[in-house]
Formats: sequence, C-alpha cells, structure tokens
Amino acid sequence: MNLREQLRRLVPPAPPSPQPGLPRQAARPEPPAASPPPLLPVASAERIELRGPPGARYFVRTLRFAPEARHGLRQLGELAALDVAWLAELADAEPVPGAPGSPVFLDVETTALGGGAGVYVFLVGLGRLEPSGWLLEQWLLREPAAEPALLAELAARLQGAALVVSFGGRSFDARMLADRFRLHRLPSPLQRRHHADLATPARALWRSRLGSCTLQAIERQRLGIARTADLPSALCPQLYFDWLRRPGEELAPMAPVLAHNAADVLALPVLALELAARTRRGTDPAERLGLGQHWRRRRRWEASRRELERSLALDRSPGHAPLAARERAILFAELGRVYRRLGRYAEAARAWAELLRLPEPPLEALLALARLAEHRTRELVLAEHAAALALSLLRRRAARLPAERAARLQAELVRRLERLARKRAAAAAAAGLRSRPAGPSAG
Amino acid sequence: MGIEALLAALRQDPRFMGAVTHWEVEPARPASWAPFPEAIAPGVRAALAARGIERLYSHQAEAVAHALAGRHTVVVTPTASGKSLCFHLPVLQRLRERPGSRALYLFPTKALSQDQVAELTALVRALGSDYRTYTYDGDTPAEARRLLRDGGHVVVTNPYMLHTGILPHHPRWTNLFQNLGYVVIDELHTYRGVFGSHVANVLRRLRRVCAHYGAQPVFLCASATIGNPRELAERLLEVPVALVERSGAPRGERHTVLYNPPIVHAELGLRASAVEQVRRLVRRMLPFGVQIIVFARSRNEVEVLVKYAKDAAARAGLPAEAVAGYRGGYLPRLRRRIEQGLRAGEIRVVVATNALELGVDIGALDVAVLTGYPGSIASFYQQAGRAGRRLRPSLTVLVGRSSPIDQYLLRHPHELLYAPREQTVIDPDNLLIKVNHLKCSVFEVPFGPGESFGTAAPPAPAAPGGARHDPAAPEVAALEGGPRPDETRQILEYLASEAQLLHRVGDTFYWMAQAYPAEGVSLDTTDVDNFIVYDLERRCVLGEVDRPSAMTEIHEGAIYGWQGEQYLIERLDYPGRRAYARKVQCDYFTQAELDRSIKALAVDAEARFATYEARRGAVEVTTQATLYKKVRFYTRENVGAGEIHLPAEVLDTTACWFTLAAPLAARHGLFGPQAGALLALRNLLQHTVPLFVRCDPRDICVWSEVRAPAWGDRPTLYLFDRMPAGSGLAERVFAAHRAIFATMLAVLRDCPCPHGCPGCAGVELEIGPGAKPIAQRLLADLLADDAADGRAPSPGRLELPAGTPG
Repeated sequence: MNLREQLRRLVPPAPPSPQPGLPRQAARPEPPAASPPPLLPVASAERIELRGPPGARYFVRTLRFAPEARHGLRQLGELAALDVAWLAELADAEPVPGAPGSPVFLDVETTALGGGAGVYVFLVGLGRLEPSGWLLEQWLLREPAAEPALLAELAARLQGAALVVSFGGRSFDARMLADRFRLHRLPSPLQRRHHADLATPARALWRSRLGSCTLQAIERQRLGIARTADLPSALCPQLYFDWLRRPGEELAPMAPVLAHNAADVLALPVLALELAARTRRGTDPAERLGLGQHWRRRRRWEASRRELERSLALDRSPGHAPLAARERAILFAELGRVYRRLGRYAEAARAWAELLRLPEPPLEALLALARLAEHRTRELVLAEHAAALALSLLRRRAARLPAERAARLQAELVRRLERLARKRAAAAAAAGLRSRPAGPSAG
Repeated sequence: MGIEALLAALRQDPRFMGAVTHWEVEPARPASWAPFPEAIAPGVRAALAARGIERLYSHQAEAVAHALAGRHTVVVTPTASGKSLCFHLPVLQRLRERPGSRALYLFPTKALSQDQVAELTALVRALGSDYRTYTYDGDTPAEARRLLRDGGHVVVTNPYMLHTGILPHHPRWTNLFQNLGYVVIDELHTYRGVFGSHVANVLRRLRRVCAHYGAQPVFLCASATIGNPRELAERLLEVPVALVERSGAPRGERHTVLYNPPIVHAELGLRASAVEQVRRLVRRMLPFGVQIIVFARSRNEVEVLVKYAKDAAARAGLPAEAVAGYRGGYLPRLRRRIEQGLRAGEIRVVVATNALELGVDIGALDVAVLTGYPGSIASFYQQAGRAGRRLRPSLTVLVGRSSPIDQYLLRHPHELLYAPREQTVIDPDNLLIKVNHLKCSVFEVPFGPGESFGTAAPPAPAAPGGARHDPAAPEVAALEGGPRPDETRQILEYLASEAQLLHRVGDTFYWMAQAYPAEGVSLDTTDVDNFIVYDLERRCVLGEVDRPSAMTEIHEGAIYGWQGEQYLIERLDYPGRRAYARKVQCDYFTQAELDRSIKALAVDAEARFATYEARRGAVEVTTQATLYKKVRFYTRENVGAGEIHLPAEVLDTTACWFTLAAPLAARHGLFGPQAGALLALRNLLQHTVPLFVRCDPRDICVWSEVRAPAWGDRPTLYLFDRMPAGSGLAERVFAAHRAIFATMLAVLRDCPCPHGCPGCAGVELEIGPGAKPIAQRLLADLLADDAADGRAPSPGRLELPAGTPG
C-alpha cells in the first residue's frame, strides 16, 4: 500500500460536499441583507469590500439603515434615547466612563463551538447607531492569514464604544475573540466589565413563561420579530468551509450565513430597548418577580425587595394576568429571603408563613422559616407548623434527595420539633397556662 | 524477625534451596557526595539546608550543572536516589533569577505528580517565596484552572492533559508558554511502545506551540535504568541530550533469587504453577514481619493471589486489610488509600500488576516476589527495585513460570543479571499515531511552508557494543532500516484535499473543521471507550475494563475479581458500555476462548525460501469470544462452561506470517495427525519473540491455520500487532525471523522433556503426541534452507542470543 492508500484507511476521505441542498434553497431569492423581517425596510445601502494583501484577505460588508427603520416592536433610531447606564446595570456591567461612542452590538460566528486554538472566528457582526442611521458591519475571513489584520480593525472599531452588547456573548463571543487576540498576541479590546450580556436579564425576566429562552424564541414571542428562511447556526461552519475551498471571490454562497449573523445583530437593539423599557415600567407580575430574583442573585437586596413587592401588588390588583401557583410560591419564598437578609424578620416570617397555605411550598423556605420563627421572631407555634410541614414534605420527597442529606434533614427536624415542644411547654408553664398541642407531633 | 532473619531461614531451608537456580548478592554501596554548583544562589542553598540537605549526591550535582548550562538532560537513577532535586534545584534557581519564568512538569500518571508537588511546595516554603505550584489534571476545579493558567509558576500535569487540555487551548496559556524555561519529564522509561510513540508526538506538538510563542525550554528528564536512556530521550525530544547515569546515592545489600518451581510430572514436563509457589512463599514470609510486594502478570492473577494472601494472612493472625491488590481498573481513591496503607506499614502484602512499577510513592518494602519473568529486563529491575529502598538488605525472588522465556532465563541467569538492559523502542512515525497528532498540531498552530512534524531522520540507534550478552541486539539490527522519508507534506496534502479537515492557502495549512481532533486520539488506547463495572448491591462503580478486554472479562456469566472477591456479571449492556455485577461466593473463575480470522489486505514485503514463504503487510483481524470455561481455584479443574454472545472486535493492523511449502507440510504430517506441531510452533513463536523485540508480550498475538485458504490451503503461522495500524513490531519480527526460528529450535533442543511441556512447545495434551519432535525437525528444515529469493532480510546481520546453538 502506498502512503495515500494507507491514509485512506486511517482517515476516511470527506463525503462529497453537500453543496446542493439546504443552503441553496435558503440563499435563493433573497438579496444578502433581506432575510430578516418583513417590517424592516431593505437596507438603504450595502457596500462590500475585499481588503488585505493576496493570501491574507477579508471581506467587509457594510449595511446602512435609516433611523426610522422599524424592526419588530421598535424603530432603530429609538436607540438614541436608550438609557445605557441602566442597561449596563441590568447586565452587571458598566459603560466606559466618558466614552464618546454609543453602545455597539456584537455577534460572531465560529468554525466550532468548543473553543481551542484551531477554532476560528470567521465572521464578526457589529452594529451601532450613528447620526446618519443604523450601521451594521460584518468582517468575514477569506484567508486565515488575514486574522491579525481583521482583529486589529475590529479592535479599532470597538475603541471608544461606551458598551459592548451581546446575547450570551460573555461566555461565548467574547471568550472566542479573546482567544484569537491572545493567540496573535494582540491586546484584547473586550473587557468583561464593559460588556453587557443581555441573555442573563432576558432569561430572568422571561424564563418562567417562555421555557426556551433562545434569542430566536425571544424575538418571536417578545420582540415581534419573525425571521424567515433563517439558516440554523449549526449549519454555518460547513457552509463557510465549502466557501473557503471554492476558488474566486464570489460572496453569494455565504449569503445565508451573512444574513443569519445580520439578523442576530439586528435583534440586539430591539432586545435592549424592550428590556430597558419593561424593567423600568412593566406591569407584568411575572416579569417583576423575575427581575426581583435577578437582583437578589446580584445581592442587590433593596432593588430586589422593590420588585418583589411590586410583583405582589400587581398580582393582587385586578387587570393583570395573575401569577401561577408555582410562581406565587417562589415569590413568597424570595420575599422572605430578601426581608430576612435586610433584617426585617417579622416581614420575612409573614412572607414565608404564606407558604403554609400553598400547595407544594419550597422545602428550603420552610426550613428557613422554622429557624427564623424559633430564634428570631419567637413564634413557636409558627415554627412548629413550618417544621412539621417540612418534615412531611421531606418524607414525601425523600426519594428525590440524596439519601444522606434527606436523613440529616429529617433528624434535624425531629430534634427541632422536640425542642419546640419543650420550649412551648416551658413558656406555657411560665405563663401559667395549659399548653395546647398544635399541629402534628414529632415522630 | 525481619528481613535478615528471613534471609537466614531461607538459606537453611533445603526445600526452598532445592528450587533455587541462582542466588545473587550485591554488596551495599556507600554514598558519593559533591558540593553545590557555584551558580546556585545562597538563598536556595539555605532553603535546602533548612530541609536537611547540606550537600548533593554526585549525580544530582552533575545533572544540575547540565540544566543550569541549558543542556537537555536525562538522569538515570534507581528509585529513591533523590532524583527530584535534579529538577527542583534548577527550576528554583531560574525562578530566583527571573521571577516571571515558568516550568512544566510532566508525570505519566496523576498519582506520581501529587508526591512531587508536596516536595516542591515544601522547598518553596523553605525558600520563603510565593512561587506557586499547581497540579492541572482532570480533578482540577474550573475556578482553579484560570488561576493556575495565569499565576502558576510550576504547572504539574500529565501527557493526557497536555494532549487534550493544554496544547489545544494554548491561547489561554500564553503566560506559561511565553516564559517556559524548563520542561521536566519524569519516568521517561514509561514512554515506550504505543504510549511512548504518542507522547513523542505530543512533545512535537509542545515544541511547535513553544516555538509559536518564541520559547525554547530546556528539557530535564529522569528515567529508571534502561538500556538506552539517552537514545530514548533523543527520540522523544529530537534534540541531543546529556546523560547522567552514575548514581551517588547509597544502597543496601541486595539479594536476587531465581526460583524454578519443581517438576511435578516428569513425563509431561509439568512444573508446579508459579502462582501456587508464590502463594506458599508469601505464607512462609509473612510471619517474619516483612513487607512484601507480589507482582502478577494479569488482573485476574492479581485477584487470585490477593485471595490466597488474605487466607494466608488470616492464618498468620493478620487482619484482612493487611493484604491489598493494586491494578489498573481500580478507581483512584482506592489506589490512594492503598498507597497510604503501604507507606504507613499497615498493608503487609500488596499484589500488583505492573501498575506499581512506576514511581508511585509507597515507601520502602523488604521483599519483591515476581510471579514469572515480567517480559523485559527493565521491568524486572523496576519490579525488583520496589524492595530495598532503605539502607537495609532486600530480597527479590523471581518465581519462574513454565513458559519458554522464563525457563530459558532461569537456565541462563547471566542473561538476566548481567545482560545490558533492553533497548526501549518507540516509533513516533507510526502512521496512525503521527497522522492523529499532526491533525492536533495543525489545530494548534498552522503549518507553514517547509515545516515538518518531527525530524526527518531520527538519531541512529547506538551500535550495541556488548551484543554478545544482549538478547535484544537482533532487534536493534532490525531497526536499522534507515530513516523514513519525511511524510509530513504528503499527509497534510491528503488531510486538506481528501479528508477536508485542513484548508490550504499557498503553502500553509490551517485546521478548518468542526471536529476537535485531540478528543478522538487516545494516548494509550485504553482511556477511551471503557466499560464500567457496576455493583448491583452497593450501587456503585467497581472499576473499568477497556473494550477489547470486555468480551473476555465481563461477558455475561464471567466472574470478575475485585480485591480478592468474586463478582458474577449478571448483565452486560454492550452499547451502553456497562456491566452489572453481583458479589457471589464461588470457588471458580472464568476463562474465555476466542475464535479468530485474519485477512491479508496488502503484502508489503515478501521473502521466499524453498520450504516456506515469509510475508508482512496489513491485515484485518476479526476476533470473537465463543465460550467460557469455569475453572476451580487451587485445583484448576474445569467445572462448567457457557456461551458468549458478543460482537466481534475488528482490528486493522500489521502482521507478518509464514506459509509452509505443501510438500514439507505433507512430509511431516501437518495435514493429518501431526497438525499439533503447528500449534507447537505458534506457542514457541509467541514466547520467543519478546526476547528479540522489546514489547509487552500482550502487544503481540500469534495465530495459526492448518489450511489457510488465502495461501493455497497451506499451513500458515501469523503474528500480528495489537496496536491498530501496527507499532512496527511485525516489521522487526519479519526482519529477525530467522534468528527467532533458531532460538525456537534451541529452546526445543535444550528442554529435556520428551513430548512437550509448557516450558517449550506446550503440553502434550494440547499439541498431541509426537508433535514436539516433529516441530523440532520442521524448524531444522526451515533453517536449513538459506537461499531466499525476493526481498529477503539479510540474516547475516542478526546476532543470536548467547547460548543459542546456531
């Protein structure tokens, strides 16, 4: 066997390229920019340039949209009034102090998802509002040797931006780019502090109702955007590989990928505007609850309390879709947690006590209530109720918990119930009263 | 009591001495000291003094001087001779000079690195610095990983993590690679065979990544005593390496005893089983209060011997916990517990496979008992070295098996005790291995014009000077086929044009695929696709079994031994890679039988002789487990059988095979009553090859067909490589096969048994009556004819092992 035959046995040749098929269909009638939404006017101007010396070239595609261009529920020009500081705060970031530029919206496509030195960021999409309108730029790697030049240009463009906005970009886009910058030993322009990843607040707000919180699910159900003929992300790398191996400079085969990336970037300003507006003045109790949890995770106790109380008020007032029973249990559990944290023990006890009346109360909250009522608010009867309910729940759910933990909790609860009974008897004796047994007894 | 008393008692025991074929005593050796090299900073010296180190052994001083001068170095020392200081000292000195510098320590296994980190950390503390040493392995939590990537001065890891975790993600390790001063590679001798060939390629990748960041680290290696440490280091590193081999560490008196179990059946030539003899020896030694390590060949044997040793311990009034097994497939936590038990002296007997050959720190043991020759002289010394690390006498007993190689060495003790150690061979250019790592390497750094993966011409193996006593010499000769031409470009072009994994722009190749190449490459073929053995009662994982072994070890009905206990495999979920086991009390173990077919895919070389043809090439081997036997403990009688229904294993590999001429075969009755003579040749071949080719006996397989359809229905003897795509063993056997035949003939002639025994052709029951003399005449006929046509290897270049009549 010669070397080639041996290699064929060891590393199978690739199957014939799937060139005809889905991509062609997706690419068919649309001009490159047009796959996004019917509501959005076609780009008013598209420019495509091939830059770099032979062997190290990359494409830059620029699309301009009028400020009045409508996308989903919003006009792109509304961005001018976006409260950038608030958006940043929501996403645990901060704008660059004194930065002249507006926020930039970022999304990248990579040759694989896993990361590593051999995974290329082959397409970077960057959008921002300029005085003349909305500008979308896309950098597409034609030859891998162009990467340093492409990255340098991207870095220059990011320079001076007040905030980088992405969806899921802190854990993906920024990390992938950071790897590329480090690989070429270039300073990375992306700083975690100034990167607002909207996925976290969006999920906090909508997860309980949407189930799937992908960007496209959010677009469809919360932003009024309907993508048509969108290429699934998973197919982008293969289309890119096929295009790389084609001779010539024709960009058309990459149109579906460019369109997909453009759609991802274009959804970001709409998402930013909606998030900012709904978190400022929304009237949906479920969203307030999600936001309250969001702040609680950040240890922003006062902000969390405000939102949770708002949720409770909205839930009780007519004219708003009420919370589901499961959500209400979460709300009281969260309220109790935040009050306790703020040292407002009596209110914490009241919030948690509401749980005793609900089906399926969270076990953790009952345990916390038993502790709080016994030691802080000294409501022994309430403590006994909570502990007894926790014990019965624990017995029902024991199979779902690790055996060791279930046994430990159970022993703890039994001890607590015994202690509470003693304390109550002592208190009754001290008060000269006959104690009346309350709730199920310890067993 | 104690080791001295044991030695005296054994010497006075006529029954024991009756089986001893050789008793070697090496006197104790005092320490040889040397002053600290001038260049070591006073602060570093003071830190060592604070740790009780006032001066260096001569080999330490020599190694440190090389390292400080920037020379790649390999230190060859026995265990417990203070070799780690040879690394730590230059690393600390460099950190002193350049606080931003980094070092990378590579250990073959996780366990070894833990001991080293503790030592280095203690030194750093004594130095009053805050140089940070971190272990990076599969257990390192994610948060700690980021910390160590940026802040770890010394990163301790293993080849597996370097391969999958570090090199592919080098952009996250820029701090390490830009400032890398030293790369320490410990236990160099373990990087042999398939594993070594993989590691050589991982090191090629490491050097390419270092070059990308402009670093040129100095490599500091340590190896146990092998025949060719410098050559191995130079093949692994592909640069010239300085050798430090004279140990200055002291050593206690060493006793080495070769013990041949008595013949129990003269007519059949049957000797008492080595396992049985080991059982008795352990029982005899336990009351002397010595700590014993027993080496066994297979996992199964470990379990059988642990059971025996536990019985013996009970009789000696010791708790069952005083006996432990130690083998691959045990989970790490159990291993750590056993290592601690050994160091603390709570475990008195440990029965191990070669998993304990490595420098796992288990403290000083008194006695090593080897159940059979471990397959190579280097392994023999590694195992023997487990006894006698202290300045006290130590004892090693090699209990011979009935196999031809054991019997040969017991009859020629000088071959074992005075022969130069074997050459340790790796084949970094094995096509499968090289292609796989080349893929990983392109993923890591694109290949530029003219770049090659590894040196085109590896350093030629040193000519064996004292080849007279070197059984491995023929293999060295066989290796001198000249370097292979550089294939890098051709492979890259194939990967780009046909496999479509790479993208070529001009003369540069880039990785362009969604796959993550390191994920599909296993460094030792056992760490991927393992079966889990699950205990149905305790609901936990007992251990792991690699896929090719599953059909023989964990088929339904198999008895799986674990820490001396028996588990019955009740169900095997083959696609789910899980076996469900239940602990049982039974008095038998199981042995599976295999059926095999070999299809030649291509013939790469051929040599025709009047009486036979030799060929080598690519083959496809299909192996199927058919049934299993239940074998009773102690008596080894057959107490039942069952069928096995599992998918066949298909292996693409290289082989060499010998087809006998029809007239010759007919003359010796091979087609009729004497077919067993072919089995005799097969047995001999299996056992003789390891004398010529340094390999684990399990790396090769032999097979035979009386009427091979592909070869004119003539008798054919096959030998194939267990490594997919082959590791070069078949080529070497093909080249050396005349010398191997000659040794096979010598084994038959030397052995006094009339009809075959396990020490030569195999037992008469297996090969049939009269097969031994037929096999002997057959071999003589094969060797008589010297005139080959075709591309025959030149037998004139091969030297026979001493004591082998030509």
